[in-house]
Amino acid sequence: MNTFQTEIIFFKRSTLLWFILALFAFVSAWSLLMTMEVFASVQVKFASMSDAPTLYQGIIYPVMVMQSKLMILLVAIVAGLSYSRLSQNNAWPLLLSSCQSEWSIVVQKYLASFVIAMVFVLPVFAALICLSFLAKIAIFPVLMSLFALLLLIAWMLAMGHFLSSLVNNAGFAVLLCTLVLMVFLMLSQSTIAVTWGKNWIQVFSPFYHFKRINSDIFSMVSLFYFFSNIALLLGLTMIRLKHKRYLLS
Amino acid sequence: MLEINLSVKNLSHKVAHQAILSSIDFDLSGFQAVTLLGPNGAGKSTLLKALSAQLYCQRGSVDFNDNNSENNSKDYASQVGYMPEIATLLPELTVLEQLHYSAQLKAVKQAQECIDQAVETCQLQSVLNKRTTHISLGYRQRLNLAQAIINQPQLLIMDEPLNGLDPHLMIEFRNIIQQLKQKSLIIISTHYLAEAQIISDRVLILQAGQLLDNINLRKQKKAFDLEQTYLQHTSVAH
Repeated sequence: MNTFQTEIIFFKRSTLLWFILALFAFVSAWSLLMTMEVFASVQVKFASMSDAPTLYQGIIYPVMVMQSKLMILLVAIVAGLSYSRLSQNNAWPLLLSSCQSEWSIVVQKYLASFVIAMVFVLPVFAALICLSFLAKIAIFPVLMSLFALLLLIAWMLAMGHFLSSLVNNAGFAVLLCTLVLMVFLMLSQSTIAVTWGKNWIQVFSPFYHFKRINSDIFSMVSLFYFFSNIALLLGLTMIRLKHKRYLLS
Repeated sequence: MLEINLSVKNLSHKVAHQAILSSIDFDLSGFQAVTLLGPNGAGKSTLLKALSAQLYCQRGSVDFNDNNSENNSKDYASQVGYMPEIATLLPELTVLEQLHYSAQLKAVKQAQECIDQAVETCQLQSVLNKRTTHISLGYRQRLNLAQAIINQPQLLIMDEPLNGLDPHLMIEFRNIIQQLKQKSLIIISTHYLAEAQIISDRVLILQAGQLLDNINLRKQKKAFDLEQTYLQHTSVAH
């Protein structure tokens, strides 16, 4: 049994987590149905509009944006608990006296939390792909949206793991993750007038890059942003694990 | 007979300008049980963490069989077992799963064989499928020990293993330690002086981060009184 399997077992056997995540799944499914219902009810008005929103603009895009916001809660729980709960269970000596490299532990924990997040996201993905087939929407933009959401989740998990490695209290770690991810969300919504030039604050937010890819603006800069940040955050988590050996706690 | 050697040189560690360990120097070789004695706050647990490569001290070095705890930490860790004062248990796992996880973390090659042996030594057969949170304190300590010996370490470090044990379990632990010291160098910290005198071959007395004495009990006369020696050392230092 390795760290990856141990993490999966932890999530599988935590009743409270399943309860919270079931609520998440319900809100997620409900938001999708509501979006479809609203879109259907305003179809008559769209008929008179020259630039009426397409199914993609009216359903897929808002659902994906909603998902990205909901993921903050999911990621805060899944990633927030990853290292902080070790302190609460006094389990750090287990990792610190291990023969495994810190990088291997970090990667296994990260992959496990990614798999857990996917359990809750994949049904939404499946629903959207089915919808796009049934409604005959071009599949490429939908797949791009899903890819953007995957990148965002991967980024948020990496950030959550790093934050979790910094604190010893599991509850505080979840709160800190929520707070930091909310700040990044707010940064992406910063509305400094365009006349001031490019809004550099927005560029630092993963939500900004997510929205760009989600809006069918595929750029290598956004891809580089996600991959470099994920590597950096996982690297920082590894350094934090190594640093633990210099601290007396 | 395999030669083993633990060498601690000039080990010092400070936290917020307060010395926790000050220039600790000692060498231990061969299979034996060594007890670390000292009042609360003397630095025993810190020293044990340094010996188990969980803490890198600001000065000094720890070498075991030519492996440095800092520069060669993975090879060092593979030869060392550490039993912390409070059991390191993951509440979501069963006892068997916890042992498998420990074996994996310690990169044990023949995991199943080593787990079976640890289970037998620590008498864990009856609780293997129970969650680690659902077992008694006695079994937690047994599991704690089983995790420490899962890689069949040559250096076994035990931080106050006798704490909270009833007399029966204490005797059982004593017997396990006697059995393990035939093939390991064991370092135990404890406050139980009588137990220390029974199980150990050597005693190190620590006070305020300094090593006050290193007594070879095998070379002492039968009338040697550890309690008296300990009180003399620690009261002088007070």
